[in-house]
Amino acid sequence: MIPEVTFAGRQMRGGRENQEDSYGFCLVENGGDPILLLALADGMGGHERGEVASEIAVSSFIQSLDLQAPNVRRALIDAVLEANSRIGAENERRGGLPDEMGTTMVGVYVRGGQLQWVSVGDSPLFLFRSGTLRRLNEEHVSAPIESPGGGPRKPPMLISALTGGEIHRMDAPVHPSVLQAGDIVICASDGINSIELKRIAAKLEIQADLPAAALAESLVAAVDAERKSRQDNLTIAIVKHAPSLA
Amino acid sequence: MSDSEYTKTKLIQRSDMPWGTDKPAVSDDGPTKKMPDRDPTEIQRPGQSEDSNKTVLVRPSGDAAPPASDPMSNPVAGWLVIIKGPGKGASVQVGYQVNSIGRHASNSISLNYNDTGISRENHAEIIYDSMNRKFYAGRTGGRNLTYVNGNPVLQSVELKSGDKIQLGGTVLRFVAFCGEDFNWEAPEESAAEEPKKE
Repeated sequence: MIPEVTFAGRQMRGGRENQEDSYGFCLVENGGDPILLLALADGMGGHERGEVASEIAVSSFIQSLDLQAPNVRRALIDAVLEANSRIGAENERRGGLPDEMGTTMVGVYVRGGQLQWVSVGDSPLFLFRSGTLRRLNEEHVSAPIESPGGGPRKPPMLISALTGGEIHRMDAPVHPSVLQAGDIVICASDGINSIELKRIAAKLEIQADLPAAALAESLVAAVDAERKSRQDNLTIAIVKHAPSLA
Repeated sequence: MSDSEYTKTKLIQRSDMPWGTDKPAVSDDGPTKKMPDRDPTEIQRPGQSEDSNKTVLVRPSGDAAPPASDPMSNPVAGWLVIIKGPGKGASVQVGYQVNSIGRHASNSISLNYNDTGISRENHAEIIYDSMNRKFYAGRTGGRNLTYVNGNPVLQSVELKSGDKIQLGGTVLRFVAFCGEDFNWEAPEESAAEEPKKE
């Protein structure tokens, strides 16, 4: 697994003042049985709290994940719980109210051609396989809220996040997904919602042979080309599964 | 307006020391910097304008299950395996009592593989009646039909292990776990019910 070739990440701040997304890859050689970790978090909260929360989530998840644990799913959940309590402690240290800072969190674990993940919030994790893009993780948002009198609908609201308090929903499948040659795993913050899924799929289909970095840049450019004045922060992280290169 | 200044994949090294008790993740200066090529002055400006399309966090008022809840609060009764359509090869768990099936995560069985032929909410129901140890497929009043072994489900029909259920372009094979030979109410008794020859 090679940075920029088999896995890569790119970010864009969009129309926002701050970059509240954080992400990071960690490649553990593990004596010839490499483990690739990816953490991606989309923070929220004013006065820099969003980026602090997401940064804590990413670093805490990567550092605290127990790579020796026999049960990977349990270890992933524990790493998220650890990140959550660290966010809570930091919020308390800053004298914040409960829920004043928070973040989504997707933690990805790839080893031996198997993918396992844990997810809280609305940052999507996709699998592109044989020309089809499908979402792997749950989207922890409420339904759009209709305004009485036919006004503009309120956007869907996040119903689960790491805020230091209780985590209301966590998606952690029991069984890992077995990756196939040519699979592309895409993890993103919800800023990617500016473009339709079918456009993402079309780009991946055409550019599947490009290195991961080029794919990530291409997707960021596609979102940027929408020129939405209030474009949300965007992070795109890509893992290509090419067993021959592994 | 927008900038894509982040032109290198962010790599984090795990520290050799165990993720520890006395090592703070955050210093007084802010979060630990793990990405030297990211310009902190560029991304850490304070002050946040009101922004209507920002993510908003709400708390569900109800009693949402904690993440590591006891699996026995809704133990597995069976599975549905996607044998045709998007999501082929995946399985979902059927729990006790009434299970709603739909694309949205609010359903107890969420088939979130972008088959728009499946209703968002409550396309159909799979029921496990633990008292009589029987499974049923039921209709929910939505506009989309469900088929069991090719026959439309117009009222509840009993499900047997191996039955094929079609919703939209997705075909599921039903696999029973509970039933005559096993029930969570009396797993020991079930296990003891090995066929005995007299």
